[in-house]
Amino acid sequence: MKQLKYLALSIFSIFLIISCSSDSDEDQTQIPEFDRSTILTNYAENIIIPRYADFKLSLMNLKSSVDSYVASPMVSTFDKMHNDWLDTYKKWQHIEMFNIGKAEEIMFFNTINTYPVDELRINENIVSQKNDLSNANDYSSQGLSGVDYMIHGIDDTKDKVIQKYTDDPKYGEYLKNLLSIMYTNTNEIVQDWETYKDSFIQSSGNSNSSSLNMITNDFVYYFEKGLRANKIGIPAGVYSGGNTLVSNIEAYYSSMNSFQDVSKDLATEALIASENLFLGKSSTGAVGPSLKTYLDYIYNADVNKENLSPVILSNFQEAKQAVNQLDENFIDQINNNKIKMLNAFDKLQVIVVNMKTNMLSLLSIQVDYIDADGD
Amino acid sequence: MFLSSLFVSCDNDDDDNMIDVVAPATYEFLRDGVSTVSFSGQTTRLNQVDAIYNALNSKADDGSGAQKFYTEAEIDAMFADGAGFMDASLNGTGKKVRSKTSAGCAAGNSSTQAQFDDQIADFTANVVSAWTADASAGVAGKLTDATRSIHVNKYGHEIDQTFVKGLIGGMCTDQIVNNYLQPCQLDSGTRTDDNTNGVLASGKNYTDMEHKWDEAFGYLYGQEADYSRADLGSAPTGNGTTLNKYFKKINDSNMPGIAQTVYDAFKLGRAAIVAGNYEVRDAQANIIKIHLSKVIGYKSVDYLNGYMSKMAAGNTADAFHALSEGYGFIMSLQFTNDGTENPYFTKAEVDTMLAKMDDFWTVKDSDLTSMVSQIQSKMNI
Repeated sequence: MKQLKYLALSIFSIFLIISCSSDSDEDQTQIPEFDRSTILTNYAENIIIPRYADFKLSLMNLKSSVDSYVASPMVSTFDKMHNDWLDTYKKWQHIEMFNIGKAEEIMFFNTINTYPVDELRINENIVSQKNDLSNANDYSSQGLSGVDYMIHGIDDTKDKVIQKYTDDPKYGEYLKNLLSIMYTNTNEIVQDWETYKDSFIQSSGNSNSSSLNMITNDFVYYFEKGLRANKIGIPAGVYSGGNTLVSNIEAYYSSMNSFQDVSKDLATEALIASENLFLGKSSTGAVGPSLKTYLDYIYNADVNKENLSPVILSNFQEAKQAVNQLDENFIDQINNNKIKMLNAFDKLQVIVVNMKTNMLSLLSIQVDYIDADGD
Repeated sequence: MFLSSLFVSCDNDDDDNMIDVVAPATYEFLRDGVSTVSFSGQTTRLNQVDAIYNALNSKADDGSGAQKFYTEAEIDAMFADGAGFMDASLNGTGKKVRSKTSAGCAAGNSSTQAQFDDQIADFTANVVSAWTADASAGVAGKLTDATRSIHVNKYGHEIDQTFVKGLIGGMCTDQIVNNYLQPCQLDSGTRTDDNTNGVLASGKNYTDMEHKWDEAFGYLYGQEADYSRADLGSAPTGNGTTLNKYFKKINDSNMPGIAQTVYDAFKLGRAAIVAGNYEVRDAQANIIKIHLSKVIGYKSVDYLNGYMSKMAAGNTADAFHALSEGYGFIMSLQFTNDGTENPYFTKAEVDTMLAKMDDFWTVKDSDLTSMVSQIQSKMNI
């Protein structure tokens, strides 16, 4: 009797399944299902891979200018190195958000842009000629932020920094080692994308381990933590009861010791990079399928849903304006008028809410990280 | 339910010719047009704790974020003597944190005070000296994962966290629920008669009882820029590193409305003192005692659970950070008050829990899970 019931039940459910699938067939004839792999293809082929290639090229330039500088420390070699460092740091802003695949595996983001740096530990590493920086405690002793300290922070003027490299070869050795680590890691990721690309694009489903879910989570996490909190919120005192923390700005030493005010340039670059990813825009300006396209598709399929992409785009405009109003030197901005920093933070926060809450919900993508509330 | 039964009892009081109590719109009380509210001493102590928090992370105590290493004597001076702060306004005021730690008139305990001293000593002797070393099981040093870097003692404790989260109970909550809202403060000596008869404290515009209540208020709201603003109840700022910060978090998450409930009780209780209605006062005190205790209960649970999920995600430093906060909040549990003048957990019970979780490198999830359910069931959260 029981078995009969089960049989009846399963027959019933088969009917159900059949009727369900015929329903969805009908739906599909009206509105074709969104092909998430088109976003993945555009992101991989026109944004991620070319942006990594750009970064690698800049990094090679920096590596060779560091070699020249260490071989003969002088103003001309220093200046070239400084310019290449800034160029590389700007390019970095376009890839920091792609913490996926090999990059995630080797903690690439942590090894390139952890700040504030650990001055004491770097100084110990220099003295002890430590080359293996694979311990997580050395995240804050290396990378582009580490180079910032090595070329702008070990002393407070260009001449004095150059003098240190002249007097003690250990500085040059440490600096060259930082470049060598960054280059090796970058190369590994660039090579990995050659094979990873196909599986990245093919993983077009909607589970926590599908590519679009992961890359979107990475993007939103980056925007919330790497951009909003690290570049603006933390130094402006948002997480420290209003106490500002100027030494927590990105590329602190370049601004601090008056080499060049770069924090605003870096933040602006990061914001443009984020907007470009949302829009599906490559470095050539070409626009392809993106999170925006997906949101537009969902709205067109059901106008009762929120038309979110124009909202997010106007949020980006406002955020860019707010960042643009900041002093080139964030230390001065924070010390003289932190309200403007807080205003920029608020504008970025609006984007966080619209992307993390509203966009992820419209796209049915689950948040895969715990809030980083900074305490 | 609890509130409505309170109102019923108020009504009954009225019938018995008791004085009616009406709470003002905000926490502003005047006598002859001049404010009678004062809690600057509490503000000073909360600011002192914020400064010590920085020192216990080798950061300059003025909050600038600059690195600065402190000796045991220097931090002891800040904690015990109210001296040696970079912010000169915190020095020599007579206000000290240590003498108000585990020092409630109802249930002070000097051995708990000493646990705080030990943390300072451990930090300066063992963590500072290993600032650039790599931490591992049984070894103090720096510990990093993908999300953060922390500096820990040999058991994995991040001492700025254990210490300040301990003070959230040990000073802030204890001073409120086991001291200033207690008869041993409010009614001590001639304070009841003085309050009833409008006898003011010498040279002041307030009665002693009014002031004691305000001092309790100050341990929660002392770092609010404007204590008399209309939305103080619904929207605490969370300023500072102590009770208000977590009060706001709980109001925003686990228990929406708790902030308004506590604020209303502070306001009505203070109005009851002005009206000389001590039954209403004590009923409000009980509301405050139970609700502030729940903040500590919720955060204990949150951080123990947080530790387990962060470990599962492979983020050891982030997990130890959370467990350090949890350790401090567990310490704080002995300073709660369940409304019957008993803590939800006794000192002995707390010390047993702390012993079980003492070594973060070997702590068992099963022990933490059982603590979580113990706290949840006992505190009804």
